[in-house]
Amino acid sequence: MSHVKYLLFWGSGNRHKMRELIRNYVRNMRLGMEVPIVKFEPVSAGPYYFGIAVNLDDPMQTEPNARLTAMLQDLGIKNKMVRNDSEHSAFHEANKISTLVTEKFEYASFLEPIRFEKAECNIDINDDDIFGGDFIDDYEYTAEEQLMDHLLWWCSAKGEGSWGLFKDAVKLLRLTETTQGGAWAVMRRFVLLGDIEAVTAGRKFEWGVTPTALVKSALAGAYISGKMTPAWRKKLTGVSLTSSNGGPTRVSVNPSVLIEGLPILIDPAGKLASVLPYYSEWEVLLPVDPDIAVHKYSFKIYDGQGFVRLNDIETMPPGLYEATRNEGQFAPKVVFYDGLRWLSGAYYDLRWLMIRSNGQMMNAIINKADELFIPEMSRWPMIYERSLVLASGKLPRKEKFGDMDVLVYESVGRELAQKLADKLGIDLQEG
Amino acid sequence: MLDYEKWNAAIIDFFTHDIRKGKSVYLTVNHKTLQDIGKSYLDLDCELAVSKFINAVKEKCTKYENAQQHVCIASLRTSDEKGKPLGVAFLSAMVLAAYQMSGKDDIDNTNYFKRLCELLDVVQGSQGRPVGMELYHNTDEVSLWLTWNAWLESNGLASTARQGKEGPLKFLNYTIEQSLLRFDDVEFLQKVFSSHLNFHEALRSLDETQLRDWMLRQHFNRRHLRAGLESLDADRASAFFDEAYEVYSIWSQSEENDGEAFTSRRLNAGIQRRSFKGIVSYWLLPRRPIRWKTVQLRVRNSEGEYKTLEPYRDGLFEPLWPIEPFVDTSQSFLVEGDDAIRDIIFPKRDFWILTPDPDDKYGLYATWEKYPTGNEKKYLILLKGNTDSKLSTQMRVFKEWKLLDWDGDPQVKDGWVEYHGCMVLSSAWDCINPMPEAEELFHSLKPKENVTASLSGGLKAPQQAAWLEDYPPSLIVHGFEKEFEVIVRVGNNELIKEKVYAQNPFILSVCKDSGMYNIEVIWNKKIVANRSLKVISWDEISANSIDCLKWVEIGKKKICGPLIKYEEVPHVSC
Repeated sequence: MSHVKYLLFWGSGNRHKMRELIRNYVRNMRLGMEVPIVKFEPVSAGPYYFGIAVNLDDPMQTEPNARLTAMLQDLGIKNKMVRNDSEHSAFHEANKISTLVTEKFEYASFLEPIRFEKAECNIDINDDDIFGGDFIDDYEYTAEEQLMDHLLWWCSAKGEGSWGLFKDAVKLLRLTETTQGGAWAVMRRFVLLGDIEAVTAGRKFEWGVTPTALVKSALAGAYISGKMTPAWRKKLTGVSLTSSNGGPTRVSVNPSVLIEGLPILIDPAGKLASVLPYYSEWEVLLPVDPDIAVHKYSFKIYDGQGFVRLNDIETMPPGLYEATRNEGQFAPKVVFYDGLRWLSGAYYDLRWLMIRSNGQMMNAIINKADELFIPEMSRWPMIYERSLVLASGKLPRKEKFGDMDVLVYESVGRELAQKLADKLGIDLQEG
Repeated sequence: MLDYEKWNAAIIDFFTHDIRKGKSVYLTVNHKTLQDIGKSYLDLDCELAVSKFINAVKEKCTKYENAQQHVCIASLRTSDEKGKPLGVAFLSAMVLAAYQMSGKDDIDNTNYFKRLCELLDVVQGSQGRPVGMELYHNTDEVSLWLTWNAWLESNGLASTARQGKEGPLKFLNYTIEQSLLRFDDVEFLQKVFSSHLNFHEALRSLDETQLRDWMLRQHFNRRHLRAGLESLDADRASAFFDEAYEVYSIWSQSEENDGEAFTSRRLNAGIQRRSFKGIVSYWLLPRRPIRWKTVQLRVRNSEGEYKTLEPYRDGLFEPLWPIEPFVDTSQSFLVEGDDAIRDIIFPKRDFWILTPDPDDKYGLYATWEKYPTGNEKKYLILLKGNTDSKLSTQMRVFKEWKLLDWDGDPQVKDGWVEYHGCMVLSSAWDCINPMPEAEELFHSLKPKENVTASLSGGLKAPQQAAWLEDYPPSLIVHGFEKEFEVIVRVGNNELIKEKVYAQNPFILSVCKDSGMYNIEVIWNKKIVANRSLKVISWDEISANSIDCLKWVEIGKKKICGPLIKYEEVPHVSC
């Protein structure tokens, strides 16, 4: 904390000259931090008071130090000092000096001003760009699982946070360099694995880590989901660490092991599948983007391969669009137009909706090893995909069948696959 | 268990419970803290607590030998069965003796030990020290302080007991720096409050920030008190303000109760700003009492409804409900569940200074800090009234004189005005005399430091006041000069000495490994800012103990990761 007090002087003659004299001395001797300001009584003629502010090391100091004394001597004002006799000190408190040099005084400051830093963003800004980069999450990376572990540990320590904070952490850990896609591509892996839940609050996006739980799946043994730290993980016995196909390390546990104090969740994949709605009801739950208006945005439409510019905005067909605001600097967002409403959501959810609304038949294959094969082009909406991922505690792996990319989910089983396929109107085949 | 051990364990718990990791701990033992410890931990009558404590220390730490009573603390160099250092109650007695000394002048070595000998009924020996506690004979108290410091640090807390400069107070400094307000400082403050703050109800219900700003304007002519309140070490100054606020709370309640003794404390509340679809609201944000012993508390709102007080961030309870930020008289909300806590007070104010979330720069603005300082962050100023009010007029004067600036235009709401992104630009606040109505605002905004060193960026270990290895922060110096010199040390080892420019981030890449670093900002060969940086390994990161469940609605069900909520939320935590 700074302790500023004043030395008071009685001056005569040209006070502007005196001010320049003091200013030059302070600048030349680099005394600005010690002598930050000088104040003058603005009289039209005759003698005047002036106060030199001094930044003291010790608030109880009563006499100027050697440097200050030298300054007063060099300026020739040492014998013009008005002492504070009531406190037996050379210094006067700032509030007292203000009254001595009158209400309207002149001053000179010897310190450098601080540069005003413009705001990075409006504090009420929306998180409209969260799904940016979603559609290039293709699971083809060799994931840095250690970095994903670090991110989960950090999120566990934080507990909850804003979208911006998560994005910063992803960037710092350089996860967007080792995995394809943006921060949302990283977040969706945690969400699918049930480690983090993500919600929108108004137009802000928030996330929170789920509580640590022992998940017992129907076909893939047991694993731990949610909050995790390295110290806690090290304490566990009888666990094995395996790959989750691009998420944080899967902590596999012998299903017969009980970990004291840890809640057990039995077959959450099956339970989630039971409570999920049919796709027609799910579609109704998708939020409408109130901001989209034809005159405010430029649009590109998805043609099955990518987004192409749409010139005729008068007759916009239903479909998947990339909308870019005409004014300001906003990331483009992907929205689905159903002919009446602009629906927002994750890219894969909207792409699936587009295929469904086009009336295209979608299929999936379950094999005898309980693996479910879904064409990447018709990847399921995320909430349904979460059920598939929770069945194993692993993200899907990607395989190629001819030209087609296929996502393979392990340990799904016929029953769960059928339940979800029925809800989504998918033709499930055995293979 | 012997009385001494009970006191020892209780004192340690009292001073370290509910303290966020990384925070400084002062062993500020005085009559009031001993009464609180006696009542809360040992079920003792307040009147007897101090004498019982002294007797327990005397019984354990002194003995009669060679026809004289002398100190014997050799057995305190170990730990109790829970690993807590056994010497803390003895050190507390030493601090109590310092508390009883005069705060008006510097403590004198001889006088201090005379006081300690009287307290413990022992004889003074060489160097004035109690017999049996001579220096350099492995019988002194220094090793007890070092053990206490080491225990605090191993528990993630910052120790504060330090050796002094060479001279007679070199070792005594460990003890005397722990005693913040001394006995006569307390008496002095009570008198000052009575003579200056007793003529208006609003002055008897100031919050911590208001009292700090008021005290700093008083320029008390007491060396120890002023050095503490105006300390360059922000943690130490905060500890002094906390102590002074305790004195103020007791004084204000005793004034209210016609001099009746203080029975229960009041909690202050600030506000948290929320924005939903363009609509801004303010929520009541209560502060947790310092050294709070966790108990279930509930609070009644003005409609008579109850709400549980849940621990939230550092020193805060969860925000309770929306509230008008400006009220005509301070509001009180009754608290139930602990006799020691009476109510939550929402003060009458004409302005609020809201700072960004210290743990999330994209988060909410609130009165996060009790004692906001520094020029290093931009904040939001909320003023009562509209843009024609006297406070708004004064804000324009601040801007005109280039003392302060803000982003965009002020945002006028119903009954208040928000100034976003406010930043102090100059230290020359003495160049204007504020209008009387704006004097409090003026003194709150006037920079209290010429130079601040802040840490930004990097990967911060949440809840631990530390950064994670390999992801150190950058140092940003805000000050009223262009260039500074920075020295980074580990212990006495100087790692780098570099020139830095004001407001330009300087990446602390020398601080990648786990450890404790000290950063000194130097101008003109003088240390003008100083701060420590703790870097921890990934193994040291600890999970947030508070459940922060986010639920996604799917029709009538809610899901959170693998959890499904059918009716009630299952309560699970790790």
